[in-house]
Amino acid sequence: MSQSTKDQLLVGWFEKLEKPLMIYAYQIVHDREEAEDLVQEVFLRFSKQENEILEPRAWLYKTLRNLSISFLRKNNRLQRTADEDQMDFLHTMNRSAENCLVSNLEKNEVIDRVKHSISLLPKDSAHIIHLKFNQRKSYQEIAQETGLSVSNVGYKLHHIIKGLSEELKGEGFFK
Amino acid sequence: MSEENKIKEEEIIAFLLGELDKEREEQIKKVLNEKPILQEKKRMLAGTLGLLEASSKDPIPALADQEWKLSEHRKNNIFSSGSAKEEEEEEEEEEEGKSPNLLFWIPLGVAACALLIVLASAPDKAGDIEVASETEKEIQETTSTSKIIVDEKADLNQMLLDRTQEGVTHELSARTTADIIRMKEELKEKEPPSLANAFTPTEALLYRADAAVISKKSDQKNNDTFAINSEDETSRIDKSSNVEKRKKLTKVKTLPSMGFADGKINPPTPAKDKLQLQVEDQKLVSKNVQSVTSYPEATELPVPEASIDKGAPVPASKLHIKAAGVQTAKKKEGNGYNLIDRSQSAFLFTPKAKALGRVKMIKREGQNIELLRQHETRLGKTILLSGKDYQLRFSFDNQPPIILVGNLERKEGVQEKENLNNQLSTYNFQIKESWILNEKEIRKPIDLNQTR
Repeated sequence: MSQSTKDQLLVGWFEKLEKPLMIYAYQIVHDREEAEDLVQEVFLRFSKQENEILEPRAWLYKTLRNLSISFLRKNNRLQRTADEDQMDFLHTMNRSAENCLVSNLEKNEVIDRVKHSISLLPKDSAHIIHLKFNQRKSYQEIAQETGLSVSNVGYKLHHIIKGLSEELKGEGFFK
Repeated sequence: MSEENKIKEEEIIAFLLGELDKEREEQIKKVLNEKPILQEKKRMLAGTLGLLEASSKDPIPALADQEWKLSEHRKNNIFSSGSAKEEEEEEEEEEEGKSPNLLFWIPLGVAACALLIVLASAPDKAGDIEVASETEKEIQETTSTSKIIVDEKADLNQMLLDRTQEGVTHELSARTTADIIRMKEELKEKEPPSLANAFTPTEALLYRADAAVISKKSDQKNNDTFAINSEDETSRIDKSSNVEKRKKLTKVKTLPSMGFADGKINPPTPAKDKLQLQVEDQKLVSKNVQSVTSYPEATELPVPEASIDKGAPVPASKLHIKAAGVQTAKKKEGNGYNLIDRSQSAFLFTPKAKALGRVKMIKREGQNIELLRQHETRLGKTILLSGKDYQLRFSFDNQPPIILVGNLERKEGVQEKENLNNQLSTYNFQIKESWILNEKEIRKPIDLNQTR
């Protein structure tokens, strides 16, 4: 890959993921300055990669997460979720889904990642997620509240869930 | 992804969320059971739904509304790294392009400087470098040989003899044919002494004495050291019939017996031999007498045997010695082969006259000599020799040395019992030429079958 192609890729992915990654880093380290440093570091590493990155989005997220967690560990600021909370989380999951999770990853990391994705959703989509998973409303009820058709609610939910699922898979959360 | 699958994905999500009617739910269940790919899809979607449910319990505040951008200097850092890297790569390429030139020119320059230094320091010797290196090799080989001998605790005398033989051989090999012819002419031109003077103290002894004695005589230093054997001392002894005087003289000259039987330094004799100088002196006289009969040049002269007895007045002891000398000469009379057979040892030389040390004759059949090379095995390395024009040099106490030139061939599998189980190989030496060294150490061909 030529250097100019690499530069084009860098510019493209920077424009696309500058904001999400900044938010994600901030959500982990809770420090804007540190978040900026971390994002800068991630893009620097991306630009120095000799080999072609097959899934740049997943690579950028995964690298940023690892850097952020390392930063927290260095500064003794990593707060672990209580084991009980993790157990609650696992109970809420479908039995078949439990096997899909990579057991060696920290559960809170996955949840934070999902929260981050939800936080980036448009308001109407985030609202549908809230109605469905917080208030446990049916498609019909959501459609009535949002003014959307039932099939449209189903379509939007499918779109959000499918996108999130692929992101998580790309970042190694799902085998 | 096909439309059918999309629908199915939607339906799988609806199925997982309990949004399908009973009939459709049963159909989906059936299809999922039949298709493992759809089962895998269902597993992933179910996992994501579980995570969404877990995440929605404690949602994080939406931050998308805020301004989330990196500062300008950070952006510059990111985007300048790419161009900087490109520049670095270009520089590396340039350096790579230059480095082969340096690798080529630096060693070439160093070599040229070294050559100039050598030529400047010794311009006239530039051509002799190869010769010098060969000489150096020879010196190294000689040195290493000596070391090996010492390492084997060989006798010091043995080493001295080897060295001496080597030196003589070098001297001989350095002589040109022109030198030899010239020396022969000188000999012919030289008027043989008359019978009257045959036994005069100076002439007779000078002419017939061992060549080494003559050479030592010419050397003033040696005269001092080895005065016992010099012409002055001998003549003094001859002139004086006083035995007591001679005894006094021999007692005064109690020098170590370092004779010159063949022009070489003999090994130092034990101290007890110092008291036997008189006997040595007698031997010298007998040797001179014998040389009259044994030397070819001498036999050409009309020297009747009786004249020896009728010569200048000689002390009684001398007469006795002379008689004994003649008897000895008669005893040893025989051809060259007999002399070789009687020889205790000989020295082996390469075709280039490099000394290889002492060899021991085992037996001789005609022109074939079977010999054993002593000190063959050195430091565990066997020196194998074979080839043409090797030389065997036989030295005698009262005879000129005989040199045999011939082919040397190694013969394997013979144990040298005397050498403490050290397995040595025997060699076959086939005589091709035979030479004798006269008193001036000039080579003359001889027929070994002729009586000497």
